[in-house]
Amino acid sequence: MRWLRWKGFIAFIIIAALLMGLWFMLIDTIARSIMEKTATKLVGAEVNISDVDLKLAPLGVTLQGIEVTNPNDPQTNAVQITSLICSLETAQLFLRKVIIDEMSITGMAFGTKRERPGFVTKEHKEKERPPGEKAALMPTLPSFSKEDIGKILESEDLKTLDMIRSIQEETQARKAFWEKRMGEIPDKEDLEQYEKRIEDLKKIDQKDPQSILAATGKIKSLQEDIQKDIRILKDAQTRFNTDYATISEQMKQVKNAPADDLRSLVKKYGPTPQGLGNVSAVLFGEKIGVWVERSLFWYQKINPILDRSREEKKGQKVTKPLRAAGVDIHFREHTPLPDFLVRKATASVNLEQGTVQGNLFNITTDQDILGSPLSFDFSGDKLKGITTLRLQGSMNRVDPKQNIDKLDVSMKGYALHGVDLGAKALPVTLEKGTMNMDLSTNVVNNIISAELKGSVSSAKLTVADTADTSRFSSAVSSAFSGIDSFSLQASLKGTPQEYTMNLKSDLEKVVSGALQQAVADLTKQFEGDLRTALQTKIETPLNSLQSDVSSLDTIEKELTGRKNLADTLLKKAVPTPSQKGGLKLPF
Amino acid sequence: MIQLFAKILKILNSETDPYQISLAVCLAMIIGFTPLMSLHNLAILFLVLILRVNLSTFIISWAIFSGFAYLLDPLFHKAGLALLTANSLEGFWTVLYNIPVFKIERFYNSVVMGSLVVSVLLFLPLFFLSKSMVVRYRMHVLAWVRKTRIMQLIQLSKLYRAYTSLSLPGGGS
Repeated sequence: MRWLRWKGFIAFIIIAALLMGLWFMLIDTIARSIMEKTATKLVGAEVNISDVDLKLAPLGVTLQGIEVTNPNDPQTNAVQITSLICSLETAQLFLRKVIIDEMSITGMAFGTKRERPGFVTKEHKEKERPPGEKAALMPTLPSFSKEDIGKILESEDLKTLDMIRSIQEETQARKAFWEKRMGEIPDKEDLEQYEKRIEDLKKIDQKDPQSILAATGKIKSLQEDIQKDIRILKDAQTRFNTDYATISEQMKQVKNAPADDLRSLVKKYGPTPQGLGNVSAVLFGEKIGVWVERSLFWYQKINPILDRSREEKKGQKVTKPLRAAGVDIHFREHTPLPDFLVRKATASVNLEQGTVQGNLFNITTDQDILGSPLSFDFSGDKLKGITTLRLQGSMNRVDPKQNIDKLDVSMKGYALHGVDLGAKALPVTLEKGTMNMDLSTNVVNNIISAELKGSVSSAKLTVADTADTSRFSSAVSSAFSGIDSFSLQASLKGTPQEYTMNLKSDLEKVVSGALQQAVADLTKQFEGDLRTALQTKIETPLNSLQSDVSSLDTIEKELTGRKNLADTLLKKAVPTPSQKGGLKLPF
Repeated sequence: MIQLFAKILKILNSETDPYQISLAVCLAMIIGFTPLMSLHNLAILFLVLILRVNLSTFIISWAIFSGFAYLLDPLFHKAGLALLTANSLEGFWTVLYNIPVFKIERFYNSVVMGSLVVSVLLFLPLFFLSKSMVVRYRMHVLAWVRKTRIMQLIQLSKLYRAYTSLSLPGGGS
C-alpha cells in the first residue's frame, strides 16, 4: 500500500472533530452576527439579538432579546421580542432548506424605549420622505391670513393680469406701427411747402395774361397735391381710429376683469358651507395619516422579502444567493419545497391594553413553490379598554405576476380618553367616547384600496380656547359641545408612494348648521381682503397700460393736426375772390 | 516570501516521488478554485490526508490557486451558467437536483459548477505536466543550478541559510 497513508485517516478524524468542536463553540456567536447583520440590512436600522442558541437534538434555534430599532425614531424599538423558538426539519436542512415546522414568538411589543439609540443605515436616511411632503398630506381648514391670500394670488393665473399683458402688448405693437407710419405720411414740414407754393402764386402779375395762364396750371397741380395728402391723412386717421376703438373696447373689458377674478377666487377658496367637509379631515386626517404612513413603511419593508427577486435564464429560475458568488439555478423538484418556510408561527403581542395572541401561517419567500399564501389571524378578548380586537389578513404571492394582499381589522368597544383630534386650526379634544371600527384593506399589484368605518358613542367633545376669538371659533365650540355620537368613514386609494385619502363624517352635518352664519361672515371678510390684495396687485400693471394707451392720444392729436392743416391749405388753394386768405385771380 | 521559495526548492530538490508532488498540486487546484465550503472539498481533504501526497506542496499550491480563483471567478460563473442552463443537460441536472447529496454539494450554483468542471478538466493535464516538470527539473536543471556561480553565491546568502535550516531535522514537512 505504497500510495496510502493510514495515519492520514486518523488526522482526518482529528481535523473533522476539531472543526465540529469549533462549530459548537462558535456557531451561536457566528449565527447571531449573521442574523443581526442581515436583519439590519433588511430593516434599515440596527437590530440586536441578545442570545442565539442552536440545538442539534431536536434541531432548533432559540433567539432571545430581539430589538428592532424604529428607523424613524432611533430612540425606540419598532418591535421587541422576548424570545423566538424554532424547531427545524433536520432532513430538509441537509437539502439546504430551512423548514420551520413551528415557531413560537413570545413577548412581542411595539414602540418600546431603547437603552441606547440604534443606528439607522445610510440607505434608509436617503429614502426617508421629506417632512414637507408628509405635511402636505394633511388637510387644513380654509385659512384667511394675508399671507395665504398672497399665496392664492401668486399661485393663480389672474384673468385681469392676462388681459393687461395682452392689451399692453397689442398697444405697444400698434404704437410702434403708428410711430413708423407717422414718418411715412405727410407731416407739417411737407404741408408747409404748400403754403410757400400758395404764397408764390399770390405774387403773380395779374395783368399779364401769360402769367395768369401759367398760374392756373400751377393752382390745379397744387390742389391735386393737397387733395392727395388729405386722402392719405384721412385714410390714416380712419385706420388709427379703428385701432384706437379696439384698444378702448379692451380697456373697458379689463376694468370688469378684477370683479370676475374675485368671484372665481372666492368660489374656489372661500369658506363655503360645502367646504366644511374638511372638518373631518382636519379632525382625523393627521392621526389617520400618521398610521397610514407607518403601516405603508412596514408594508414596503416586508414586500421585498416576500417578492424574492427572480429572473429566468433559458427557462430556468435563477436567484441570487444572499451571501455567495454566482447565481443559483433552480430545477424542478419532485416534492417542491421553498428554501425558507415557517409553517406555523404562534405569537403573543404585548400591547398597553393587554396581550393579543395569534398565528401566522406559511411564512416563506417562495409562495409560488409552496402554493399557499402567507396568512395571519390575531385576536384579543380580555383587553383593558377594548371589548374585542381581531386582525386577519393574507399576503398572496402564489402567482408571482399578481400580488394580492388583504388586511381586515375589527375593534369593538374601544374606550377613548383625552384624544387630541384637531390641529391648530381646530383644537378639538375627544374627552371620552367608545369606538367601534372596521377596517378593510386590499392591495392588488401595488394598488391600495382601503375602507374604514368607525363610530363613536357616548362621546364628549371640547374645543380648546385659542387666541382667535372670532365668530367662527365660538360657533365651532358651541357646535361640538352638543355632540354625543358620530360616525367616520375613511377611504384610501392609490399606490404606497402616491395615494389619496378621503374622510367623511356625520360631524359635518351636525356642525354645519351652526357654522352657516360664521361661514357667511368669513366669506365677506375673505372677499374684502382679497379685493384689496387684488387691486394692489393689478395697480402697477394697469397704470403702465393706461400710460401706454395715453401715448396713442398724442399720435391721434398729431394726425388730426396734420389733417386740419391740409384742409386749411386746400381752402387757401381754391381761387375764390370772396374767400379770405385765398388766391385772388381775376376770373 | 524567501522561506516560501526555499520550501519549494527543498521539495523539488528532495527525494519525494514526483507523482506525490503533482497529485498534491492537482488536489490543491480543486480545493483552491472551488468555493471552500463545498461538500467535494471534504472528500479532497480526506484524499490529501489518506493518500501519500506531499502536504507542503498541497498547502502552498492551495494558497496559490485560491489567489487565482479570485481572478477566475467571473470565468467560472460564465462556464457554470452555460452548463446549468444548457437545454440538453436540463434532465440530467434535474435528476441530480433531486438527490440530497448533490443538493448539499450545491452544484446548481454557477461558480461551484464552473470552478469544479474547470478544475476536473485540468486535473489530468496538470497532473502529467507537473510530474514531467519535476522530473525534468531534477534531471537537467538541478545539477546545472548547483554548479552555477550564482548558486554558489546564493548558498552563502540569507536564502541558502533559510533553505538549509529547513533541511535540518524538524525543519521540513
